Amino acid sequence: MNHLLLIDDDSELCKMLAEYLAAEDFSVDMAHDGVSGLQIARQRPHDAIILDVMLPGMNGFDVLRELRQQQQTPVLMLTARGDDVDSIVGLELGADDYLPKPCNPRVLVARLRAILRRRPTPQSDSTENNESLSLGELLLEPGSRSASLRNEQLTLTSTEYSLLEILVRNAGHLVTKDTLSELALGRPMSRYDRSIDMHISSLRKKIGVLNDHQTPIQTVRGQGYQLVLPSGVSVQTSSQHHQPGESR
Amino acid sequence: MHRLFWKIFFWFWTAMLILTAGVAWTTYEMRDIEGENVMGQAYREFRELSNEAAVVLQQRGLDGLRQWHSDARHRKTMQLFVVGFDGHQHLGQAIPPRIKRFLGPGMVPPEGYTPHWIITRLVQPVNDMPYQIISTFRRPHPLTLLFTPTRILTALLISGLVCFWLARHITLPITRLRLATQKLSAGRLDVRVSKKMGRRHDELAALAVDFDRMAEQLQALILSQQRLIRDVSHELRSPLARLQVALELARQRGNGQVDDELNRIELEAERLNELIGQVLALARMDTGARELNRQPTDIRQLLETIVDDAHYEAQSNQRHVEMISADAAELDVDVPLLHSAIENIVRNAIKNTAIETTVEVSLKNSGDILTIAIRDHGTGIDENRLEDIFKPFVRLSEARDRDSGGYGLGLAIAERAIKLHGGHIVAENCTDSGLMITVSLPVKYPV
Repeated sequence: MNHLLLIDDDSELCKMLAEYLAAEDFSVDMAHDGVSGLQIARQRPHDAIILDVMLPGMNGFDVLRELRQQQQTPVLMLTARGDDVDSIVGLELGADDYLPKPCNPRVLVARLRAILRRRPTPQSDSTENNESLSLGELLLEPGSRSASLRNEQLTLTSTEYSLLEILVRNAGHLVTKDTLSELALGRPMSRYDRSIDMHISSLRKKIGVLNDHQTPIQTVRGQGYQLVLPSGVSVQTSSQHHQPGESR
Repeated sequence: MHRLFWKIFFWFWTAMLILTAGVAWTTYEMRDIEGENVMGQAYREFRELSNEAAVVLQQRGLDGLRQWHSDARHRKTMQLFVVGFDGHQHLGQAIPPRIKRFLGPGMVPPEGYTPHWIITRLVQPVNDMPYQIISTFRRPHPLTLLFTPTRILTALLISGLVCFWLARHITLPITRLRLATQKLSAGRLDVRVSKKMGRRHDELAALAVDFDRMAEQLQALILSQQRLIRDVSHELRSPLARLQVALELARQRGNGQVDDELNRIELEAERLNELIGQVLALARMDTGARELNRQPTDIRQLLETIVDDAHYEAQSNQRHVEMISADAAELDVDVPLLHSAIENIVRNAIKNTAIETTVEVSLKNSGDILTIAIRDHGTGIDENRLEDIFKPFVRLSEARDRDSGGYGLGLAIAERAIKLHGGHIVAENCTDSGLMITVSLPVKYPV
């Protein structure tokens, strides 16, 4: 059973949503303002957090900013419908995805499942993708879904890690935004959806620049993104847990 | 732009020059009474020159005088005639009648202010017969003596500078106020002008302060209205969100027995949600809170996407949408906004076009202006109410619109969106039948 934290000031809505989610096999903690939401998030680990932007006192963005300083729990933001700025700000601050509110609970569950599908699997039984990947100074551990650059741990959100892994596995090749959206967000890209761009943008900030002062993630205008291979470098896979095998 | 400036400038300048001339004239007249005047000086100069001519004739003879007279300076100052005792003229041009009467000895013309000053003398050079020497000088107009080119230029320059400064002093704050008003009417409510007025403390500075106060009031008013609309829609959406969850709970427990009804409830809830979204979008554009996020966009491709989608939807109602002509066009636009604007117009056209007819979409690129025309084959609209279709929730005929739900917000949103892009939108009836909505977008837009 997946454990969720729902932070929304509408207590009636929360109650009903918790009921609905329970039937979909989720257990739900609730908080009705930002401060208590943060408290609960710090006390117990959750699989995912649903966070409303409009909260009394401390708003959703502030909560997210605080939260991201300590943990990388996947966050799904609920933004006011039609307010593109809110969703962009949310993604910039490290939300994993957003959903305009009011939203259909079925859609909410689908998004949650998409986020949860790509969370870290400590004792993963799928062997094929667990070998660590290295590309130059970049090292990815699909088992713990963590990445490090020049032996320094990168603090990536779950979505950012997923994007990075997809790009590393396809290093040197163009990956379209559609593909990235399907694989990393678990949903097809909607029209004028800038989610992928926002995630890539914050990923770039975290990775920084290469020796030649260029970002390793290059934009192919109107199509997608590509991780550039420094000359003479290729993706190395090494099996740490099981037998060596071809991963791609 | 500078009409007021030039008006003030020229009026004041003209007034100043007339005043200067008047004062100069009066001053001249007053000095004339006292006998100390420019005219007197001119006469004295003439008399001295005339004497000099006489002396030259007496001492150096007729040839000496001719030489002296060839000097341009003397020729310019006076006319000189020399007549022999026998009446034969030795120097000068033909003698005018006004002088002829002074020929002969003993005839002395009056001194003073006749139109022409005339001095006659009898001179007998050494070893020669006596001559009558007549010098005449056309009395100069006092103003030509007074207004020398240097003086006129100086007066023009100084008065011009003063008037320029004056006109600028008056119009500059007005220009600033005007710019501020334009910005305000364009939706920039944070514009303030009194700080730009410098150290003025006159009526214009007071007007600027009043303007700021007005802008502040306006800003507060609109902000509160905006907040109200936002709060109301948020409040409307909260029960809607609960409704949706309750609906899904009912679905979970209803075991498919009431799914038809639940689907209907879901559809209506979605419509309500859509409407709230539209009201919000309109409010945001009306209050200038919606800022454009322009990106280079292939407009033809954008239109093709809209037409394809709309055609797919319209087919189920036996109507069609077709792109009849399209020039290549690239423009910096806010894609989602322009998309929804054009989509709204096309949707409206589908709603109004007759069954089994085609909504025609075209795109022209003149280099300066992109023209997007959307034409339906419906009944058109009363000529007098063509403008009204861009107003929110307008109903043109009660009977017909009761079924169709009126024009709703779609065209109102489209109109605002096009305006935000610096373009305009026009509706007109086609000569045969149907309505044509034309959107014009400037290729070069002010940033």
